[in-house]
Amino acid sequence: MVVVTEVFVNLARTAARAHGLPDLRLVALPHPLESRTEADVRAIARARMRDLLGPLARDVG
Amino acid sequence: MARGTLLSELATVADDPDALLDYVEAQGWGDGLPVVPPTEARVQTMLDATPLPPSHVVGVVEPRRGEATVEKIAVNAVLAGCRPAYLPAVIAAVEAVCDPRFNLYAVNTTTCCATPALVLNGPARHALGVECGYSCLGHNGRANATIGRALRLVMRNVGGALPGVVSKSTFGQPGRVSLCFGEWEERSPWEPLHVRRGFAPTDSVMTVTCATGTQDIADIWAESGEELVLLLARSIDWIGNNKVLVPQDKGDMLLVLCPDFAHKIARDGLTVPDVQRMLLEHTRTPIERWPRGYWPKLEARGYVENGTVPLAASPEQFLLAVAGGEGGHHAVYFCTFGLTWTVSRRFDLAAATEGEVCELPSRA
Repeated sequence: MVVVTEVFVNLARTAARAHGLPDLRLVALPHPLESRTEADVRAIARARMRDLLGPLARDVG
Repeated sequence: MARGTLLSELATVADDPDALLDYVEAQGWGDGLPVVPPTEARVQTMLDATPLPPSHVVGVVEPRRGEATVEKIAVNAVLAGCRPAYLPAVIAAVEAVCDPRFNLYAVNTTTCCATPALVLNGPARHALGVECGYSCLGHNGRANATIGRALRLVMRNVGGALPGVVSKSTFGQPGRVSLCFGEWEERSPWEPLHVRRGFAPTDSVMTVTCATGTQDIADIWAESGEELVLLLARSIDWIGNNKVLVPQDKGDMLLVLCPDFAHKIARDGLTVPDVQRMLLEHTRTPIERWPRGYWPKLEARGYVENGTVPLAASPEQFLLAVAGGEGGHHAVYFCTFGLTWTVSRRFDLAAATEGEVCELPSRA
């Protein structure tokens, strides 16, 4: 799994295909992260926790 | 001499420059400028300039990991407007950027405006008519304009560096069309760049460095070589420099001196290693130049030494070359992207270059 912000999805998909992993799981977060406050970034992380943990998230309540 | 059927897919386009340009633009192959039609005949003629077979893979071009075969390079060289004699130089440039040390994946995808800057040394400069003097960095000469352009087209068409889609360069830069010149070895007081990098003076060598731009440094007041080197050092250590973003021991950067600057420095007995040591010593920027909030971040990365942030870790990270017109008061600094190293490749001139000798001005 690779985590990118939205504007890098095309690049990540291209790189994944080039390396023989066309179905690589990508998680796209809002862009930009850099100029957000830490609280905002934490809120995004909490909201996307299930996606970020991937298959492991089955055991998360 | 034809080499058999080309492997590339053929397309039929009306015999009209506008139609061709529209087609190339629609395919996403070009850089916006007119192109030369890569007909089978032109590509075959281009291929005659190298003994390598068309199917030979020169390198894998990141990030799409396209195979840059000799044939694909030849097609892009035709599109770019290269003479067939330039092909070995273009192949050497492709080989250089595909060397892992150059880190093409990063250069082709970064938000930075970094681009390969091509420096030619040796007899190829004369044979191919590569401009080393006046306006060598732009707007002077077919070789300079098209060899760099051919590499850029390979990076785009084989490597997949489509702006906004894969290449995330925020602004790009004019050098992303072509940035290619020759060192004016005959007007340098020092050994040429390629000799200092381990090649023979008689070798033709393509050196590819990474440039975020061509930063002009002007001076008319230095009275000694030492003063001039200090002026140069203090002109290249600005705090928004992309090099500052990476560890100091990563990346090298090219400083191109006009012949007058080089002779003023050498007149005072300074050698290239002397200049490199001085550049290292005098590009240690006082941390006070950054806003206070930056200080702990620079400290946390281990970038701070005795209250300064060094630009580099060793003198060899500063590369020097001599080019540009006579009577100049300018140097040009190619600030590096950082996570990349300069790569050089020797190449052999094609037999086709005979009779195309270019006269460079003789040493004064």
